[in-house]
Amino acid sequence: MTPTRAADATSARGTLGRAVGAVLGFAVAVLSAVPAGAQAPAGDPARGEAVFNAAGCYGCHTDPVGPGAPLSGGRALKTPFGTFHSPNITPDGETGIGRWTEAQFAAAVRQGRMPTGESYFPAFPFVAYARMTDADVRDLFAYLRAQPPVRKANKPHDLSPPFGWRFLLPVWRTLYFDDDSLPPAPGRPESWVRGRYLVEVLGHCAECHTPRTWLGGIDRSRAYQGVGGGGVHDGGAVPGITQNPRTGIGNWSDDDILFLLEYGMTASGGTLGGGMGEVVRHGTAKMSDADRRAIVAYLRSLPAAP
Amino acid sequence: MRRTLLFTGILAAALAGSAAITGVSLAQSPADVVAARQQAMKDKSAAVFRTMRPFVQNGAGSLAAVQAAAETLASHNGKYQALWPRGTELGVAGSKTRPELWQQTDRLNQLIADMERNASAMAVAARSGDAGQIRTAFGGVVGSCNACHDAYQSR
Ligand code: HEC
Ligand code: HEC
Repeated sequence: MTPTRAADATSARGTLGRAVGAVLGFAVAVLSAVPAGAQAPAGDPARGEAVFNAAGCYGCHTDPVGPGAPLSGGRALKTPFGTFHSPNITPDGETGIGRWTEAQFAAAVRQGRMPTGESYFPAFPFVAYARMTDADVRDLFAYLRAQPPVRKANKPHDLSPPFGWRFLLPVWRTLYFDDDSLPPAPGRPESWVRGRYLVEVLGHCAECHTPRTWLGGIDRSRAYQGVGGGGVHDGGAVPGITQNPRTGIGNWSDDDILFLLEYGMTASGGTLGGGMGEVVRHGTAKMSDADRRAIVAYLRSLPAAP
Repeated sequence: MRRTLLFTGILAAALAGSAAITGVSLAQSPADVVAARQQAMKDKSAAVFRTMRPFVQNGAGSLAAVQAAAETLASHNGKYQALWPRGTELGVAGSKTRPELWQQTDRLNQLIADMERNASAMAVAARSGDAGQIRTAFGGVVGSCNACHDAYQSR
């Protein structure tokens, strides 16, 4: 709990409540003061669940074959650089992230940094998550901490050289990673600003919908123009989602896009493959209608691909 | 005629337990079965995506049309099993059904049971005329279309 929220709650309950609260709080603090990394996190797990859904953590960190226990990792992610196996992010102390501090978690998600200081591979979309707000990171951590721990060792990645060489990642980072905040957008309505955050940061839509350079960096000069096969996610083609009516969604109505984001089918009943079905099922389908409309508002502003 | 029935009976007995088989469709050619199946899908698709969807999304069209569409959809209940006899998979007469359908009897039966339950719920909701109920039931129907197509339709 954050100090402000604790204060609100106790003032409502009066002096006796405050006294009892203080004693209980002290007892809890003493009891849970065992390993440094394992304190109850300060965030709000309920809000964290919404962040978790919008950010699509479930799909990548859960093995659909088997199927594996939620968030215990082991999902094979095929890319042109080889196959990544996602790690266990349940709160298990041995094989998961149960001993991590919130600061270590924030460094992983936003900076792509391991607790040891090494870099993560960008198959973990930290390039998008870099701009996640402090509150969202804190709440997300609290949500993950509240999930059941699962003991399952991580599988090594199966990458082709030189892409499997983690020590080269700092070079990659200087080319493709920046954590500047999103530029101010004077005159844009609040829903557009929210939509930009959902698309660019949490939803990491560019990870699939934007072509990559030969080094696997997102090619911002061709933002959201689609990938014609050989795409990073399981090799399939990904359509463009700019306002171009032919290569993008320029002639989709708002209702068509909203329907896809809520129900996971096109407005005429086509299913979605290539990971988009999961994006909807675990993500946009669980959002509020206002958030889906915010995404539409932002997509509408993407300039048509040439 | 007697020979056909006898033949059908033997085959049906031999394949008993495999729910995707009925005698009726075995009497038709695979091309007829595929054509009938695709027509049935078109009718349901029109009911769900052309009539119900705009109504649910922004109140377009009329409740009467939604009720009729819901009855059309529910009229397919009980007929799904017969639409997929063996020998009508991908590669046969324009079929788009992946062969896994015939290897996963339990899963298929479950998907069909879900579809039928959701279609019945949609008919009830449409008769009630309550927009909230219709929206909820519609979500179930689309979920069922999606689940089955995702599992067995080749793309
Ligand atoms: C597109 C797939 C993908 C998505 C989406 C994704 N991850 Fe990951 N994640 C990975 C991969 C792959 C790795 C391993 C990277 C490496 O080994 O360098 C990873 C690593 C991690 C790690 C480090 C674990 C460790 O043991 O070192 C954490 C923590 C993590 N992810 C949390 C999250 C959270 C939280 C989300 C949602 C906000 C998320 N991930 C979304 C693929 C993904
Ligand atoms: C894991 C990769 C992946 C991610 C992440 C992803 N998409 Fe997609 N998206 C796809 C693929 C693949 C398709 C094509 C699906 C199909 O037609 O079978 C698609 C299709 C779409 C379509 C329909 C376009 C068309 O012409 O058919 C829209 C709209 C869309 N995505 C929006 C988004 C938005 C918004 C986000 C971020 C919230 C997002 N996508 C994130 C892979 C992804």
